[in-house]
Amino acid sequence: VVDDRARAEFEELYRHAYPRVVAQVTLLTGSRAVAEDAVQEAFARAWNRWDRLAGYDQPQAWVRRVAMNLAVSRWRSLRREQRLAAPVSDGASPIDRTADWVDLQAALLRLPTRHRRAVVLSAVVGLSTDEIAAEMAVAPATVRSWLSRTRRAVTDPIEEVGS
Amino acid sequence: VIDDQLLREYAEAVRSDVTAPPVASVRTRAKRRRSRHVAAAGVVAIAVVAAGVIVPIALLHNGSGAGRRTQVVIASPSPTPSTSTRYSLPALGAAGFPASVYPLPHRGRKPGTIASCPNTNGLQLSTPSSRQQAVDMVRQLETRSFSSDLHNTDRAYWPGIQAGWEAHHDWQTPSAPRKLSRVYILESGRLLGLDQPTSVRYLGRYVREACGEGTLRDTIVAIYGSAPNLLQARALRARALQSADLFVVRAGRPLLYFSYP
Repeated sequence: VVDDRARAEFEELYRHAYPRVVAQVTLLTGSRAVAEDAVQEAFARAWNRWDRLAGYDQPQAWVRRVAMNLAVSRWRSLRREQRLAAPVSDGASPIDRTADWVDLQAALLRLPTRHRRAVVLSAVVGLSTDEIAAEMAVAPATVRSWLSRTRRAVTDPIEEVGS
Repeated sequence: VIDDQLLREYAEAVRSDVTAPPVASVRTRAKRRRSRHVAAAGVVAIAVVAAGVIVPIALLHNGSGAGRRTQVVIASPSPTPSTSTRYSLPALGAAGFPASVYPLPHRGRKPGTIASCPNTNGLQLSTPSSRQQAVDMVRQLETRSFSSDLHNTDRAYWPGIQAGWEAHHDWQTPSAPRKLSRVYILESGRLLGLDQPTSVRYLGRYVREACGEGTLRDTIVAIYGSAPNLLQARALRARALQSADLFVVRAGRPLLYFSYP
């Protein structure tokens, strides 16, 4: 049973966190449509257990984690259409149109999913190595290794098609 | 030079562009989800009761069952087959899927390459006609029906087809997984000897290591992308990377057995 106060807290979290988490998940999957669907589903799940989640220090972290898991799962299952769709075409913003972002997006999407997730959690969410390790259930040294390798990979030039 | 700052800038650009739908829509979704769980719990309860009846009957017919071994046929394509019956996979030799055309696959020999390989029984060398059919099939997969996709696919990739349709069902997308639009076939032909673009250069090695030389010899590849070349891909803001579908031929028809990446 959720009382009025808890309901208001949920709505406040939703308004505040929804756009932020969508942005983070968009970076992870390359698709804003997948991200929005995953985040809505994560909030629906959060609402169903809000009596418990409301007591968490950071319910937003729970929502983000669930949304990322859902989005990755969705993204894998639909990889056929994902890899053929324009990855950022549904998130029109001035940055979309820069060559830098197109290159970065392509490079990001070539990374293993877990590496990409670590990069997003580090660079965008601002988590420490230990926090990322806890969230992804791996050792901190593994995260450090991923981030190091990922940054090297991301800054490598993209291979030209047919080269 | 690409750095974290650019990632943050992009995240901020997306964030400022996103408007949260009304919170009521989330509650509706949550309610629908709860209803589904209640229905699923009912099905499980019925199944448990049914098992409680069937297992004792089976034991009566077969003795205690002690010492009996169940023969498990391991066909382990990736991803793991679903146990759902919504899109269940036909058994070996089921009507419409003769075992000679759809035999059991075998596990890939090298982890990290191809998880499940086509059975080598009945494989045929490709012909210009079957290679053209394979190209046509790239455009057809996941656009018609689950059954149609199974007919066009080797058992090695059936779980992949099943997972795609299951996911589409779970996510309540329209009646079929989204139709592919503007698929450009960039290269096609026999995998062996084809000059592969950078993004799929390792496919031949994967097939050899996982499935063996015979399968490599008989494999057809169709490499495709969302634009005919990198320049146009960038103009379309589409991903420049390419995808590849691998086929073998049995009974004169190409059958998809691996899709990369």
